[in-house]
Amino acid sequence: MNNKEIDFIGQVVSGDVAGILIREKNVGNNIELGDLLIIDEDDNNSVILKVFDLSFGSQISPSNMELAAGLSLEGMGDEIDFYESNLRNYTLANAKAIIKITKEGVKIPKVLPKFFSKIRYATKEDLQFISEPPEDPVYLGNIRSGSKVLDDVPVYLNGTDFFTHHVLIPATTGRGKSNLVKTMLWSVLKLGKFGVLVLDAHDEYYGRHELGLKDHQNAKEKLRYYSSDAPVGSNTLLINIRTIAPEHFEGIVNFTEAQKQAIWLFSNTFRETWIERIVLSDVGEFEGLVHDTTLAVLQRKLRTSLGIYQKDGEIICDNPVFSLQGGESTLNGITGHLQDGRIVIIDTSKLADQTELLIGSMIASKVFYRYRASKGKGQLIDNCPISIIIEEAPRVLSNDQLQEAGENIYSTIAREGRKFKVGLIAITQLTSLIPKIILSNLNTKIILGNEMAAERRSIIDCAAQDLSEEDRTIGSLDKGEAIVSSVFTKFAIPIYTPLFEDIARRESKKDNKDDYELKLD
Amino acid sequence: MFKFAHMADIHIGAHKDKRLIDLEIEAFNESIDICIKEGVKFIIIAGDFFHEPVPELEQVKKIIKKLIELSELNIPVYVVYGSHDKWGSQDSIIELLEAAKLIIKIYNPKTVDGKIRLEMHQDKETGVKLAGIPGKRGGNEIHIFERLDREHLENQDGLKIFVFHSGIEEFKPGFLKNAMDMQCIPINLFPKGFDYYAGGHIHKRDEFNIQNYQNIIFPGPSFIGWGWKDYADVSKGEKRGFYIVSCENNKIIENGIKFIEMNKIEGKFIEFDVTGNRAKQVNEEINKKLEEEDVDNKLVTIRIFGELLSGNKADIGTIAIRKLLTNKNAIAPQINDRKVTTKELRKIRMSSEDKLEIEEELFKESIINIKPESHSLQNEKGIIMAKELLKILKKSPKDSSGKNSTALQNKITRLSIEILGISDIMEE
Repeated sequence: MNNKEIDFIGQVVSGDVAGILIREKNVGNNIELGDLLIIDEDDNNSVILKVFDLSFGSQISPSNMELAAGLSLEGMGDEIDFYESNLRNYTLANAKAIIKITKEGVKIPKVLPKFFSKIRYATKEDLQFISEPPEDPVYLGNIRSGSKVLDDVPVYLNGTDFFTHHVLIPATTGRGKSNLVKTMLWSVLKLGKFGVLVLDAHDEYYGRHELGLKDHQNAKEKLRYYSSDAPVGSNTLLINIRTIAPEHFEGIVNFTEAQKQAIWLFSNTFRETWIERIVLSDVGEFEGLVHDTTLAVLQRKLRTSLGIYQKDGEIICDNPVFSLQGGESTLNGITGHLQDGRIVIIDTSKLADQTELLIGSMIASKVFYRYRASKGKGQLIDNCPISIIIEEAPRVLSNDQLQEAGENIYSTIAREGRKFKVGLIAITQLTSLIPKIILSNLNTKIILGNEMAAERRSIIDCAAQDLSEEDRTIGSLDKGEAIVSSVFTKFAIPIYTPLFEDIARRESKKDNKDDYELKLD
Repeated sequence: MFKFAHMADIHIGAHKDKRLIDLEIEAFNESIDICIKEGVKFIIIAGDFFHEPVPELEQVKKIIKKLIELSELNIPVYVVYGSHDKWGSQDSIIELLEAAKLIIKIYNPKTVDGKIRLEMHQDKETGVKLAGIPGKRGGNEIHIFERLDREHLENQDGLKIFVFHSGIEEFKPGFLKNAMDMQCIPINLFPKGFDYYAGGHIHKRDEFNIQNYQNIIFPGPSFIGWGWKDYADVSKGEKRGFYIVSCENNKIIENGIKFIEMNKIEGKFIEFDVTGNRAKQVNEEINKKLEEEDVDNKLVTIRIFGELLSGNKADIGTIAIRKLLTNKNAIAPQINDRKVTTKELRKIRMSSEDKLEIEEELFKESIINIKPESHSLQNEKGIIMAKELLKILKKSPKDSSGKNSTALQNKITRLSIEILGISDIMEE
């Protein structure tokens, strides 16, 4: 590149592998935390640096600066100014070389860049290697340099890698988590090759009253929405209690050993009617087999979790989702949709926490065991990868929960799902509660802003790249800004996810007319 | 007080066995006799009255005779098409019966402001209002439901009945395991607040109630139905029949919905697990067991499953088994050895006694490997289309040279174009 045409913004002045110190050119520049900078090397190679710290630099001694400030503040020298101020006072940026671009490809830098190299901002051309869409690209946002968004440089990850190797989205409230997930799912709807189960605790993805995934032109074919209060044309969430198995409760509802044994006894004896039989059983009916107290506690726990109880010898179900009538094929239907590469949104906003987890557990179990069986038959290759989005993930994946209630289907998927093309997308504000062994299995982290130092430390500790210098950057991420750290990226990529509404408005179906030619006869 | 009857999935013409053909007509006649005896004011047939749009005329003649009897008694028969009654633009016997004023179709649509408005038919004697949506091949009636002017129907007063021939998504029975097994209609596409939802299409008797939708009733087939599962269900003792509903003061009376069992046929279902046995040994055991069984005048279904130690499925003498059962006067014995595998020949994928089932299974197997762009060629729709195309080819007789005549070829082409829905493209 011809030096005369380039707007240099700084120059390497010192540093080491951990941090290269850059003096910023004063006029018209403001290097930001997270900025991506470029050093062009002689052999047409270039090095990308990422700024992780900023400080002041000055050629004037600290005591003279203090004196000058005193004179100005005490009114003894309003006119005082520094001679050739731009030359003597400046900003120093501490940056880390994150990638080297050579003719042979991109590499991790192993040597320091040339001392006194000039620095410029990264451009679209420099980052071309990122924007090249992989196979089945899942869109996450556009690359960001500090707070400057390079709109022409979209960031994609290969869908199969992304979904099956699990994802962690650590985010505090209001940092753009829902926007990120909606944007990502919008691009998944375009592909139609991945099954994604969304347990939507805030009913915010479908877009019942506003723009949402329902507005995608492929929504009719590739999106299914279940709610206990379903809008016209979508499915009423109804699950027959006879389709509930004891293992669905594992790690979700706490049962003592005696209660577990009683459940298995009922399940083995009465098969699919085991819940009804527990609920309808009278004191002493199973004397010698199940203690009356155990039975009473089980009945209470089933009432709490499923809303099912008996009145005058008849089974009553308070919960609008669980039923003795209908809903026989709901779980199979949902699993089938996922297997066919559809996004299935379950509106859990009106359900109790435990009910939501239980429904998630039922579907996740069905998916996981069906895919595991497919692998056994050599048919897994035909199956679409499936991912399960679980919000407030520590409810099922925290150390405390796993110790107290035991392993559950989510922890099983986190550990083994990859082999069977089943992945998790765990969303949490409290990464520190999730065991390290599980965090290490979540191979892509999309890190949004987080004010809590302890949480940032947990995130940094489990990232796919060395983010030890990114603590401040993570703390300063604004709404929509994120860092993607993945075993499938060469470096931790700063991104900005555009507003979902803008994308949806631009790309949504133009009209809702059904293209089926209907004959009225 | 008055009563009405609700039946569905009669499938006249579904059977090839002479005794079943006779029993089928007998069962229909008996059910009508019960309706007359009970004094019903009208009869609803919620689709699949016939198994094919144009069934054997011998059977139709007998049905007409009974319908004339109803007509003379001023008992109207209200019907909607089922997915078997009409295929695309092909003629249907239903049209003929309607023209003869023996039945009344209650699907009366018109387009108003882009929506489909159904005009309700009011029964002259009882004042009951009926509206219905027909079933279509591949569940395509969903497009009618999606554009339905529900408000117009919901705003009607009086005792209202909605007749349909579709599965309901939320009440899809457990035996339809996969999403692609059947296109169903979400319940909230139905108009709310009707007094009775007279369903057909699902071959299993069921009754449902859910908020805003009371008395959703599927009677199941009134005789056997058709296909392996229906035969097996009846052989296992599942009761077939229809409903009679009692009404008073513009309401269905409490406990007024009664299922009328039709004990037209007795069944016997026998299973053999062949796991760990040799084929020869299996044949001996099956023969011994069947010799002891009382199958006289019973609909018999045999299910053979498990992994053979040696030999293969073809070594199991299904022809001999059928012969034995026929000699013992069993009715239309059905044998299913689809789930028999062998250590020697694990690659055997399917086998069935039912040719249509084999074809369907093969299409199901094959469609997974094809990624057609057109929605009408995908999944269940694709399978149905393939079956219909095959049916046309099979119906085409060949001349002495083994080729179709030009006229026949033209007919095949015309029908194929119709089924594929590409008339416009071909014209261009």
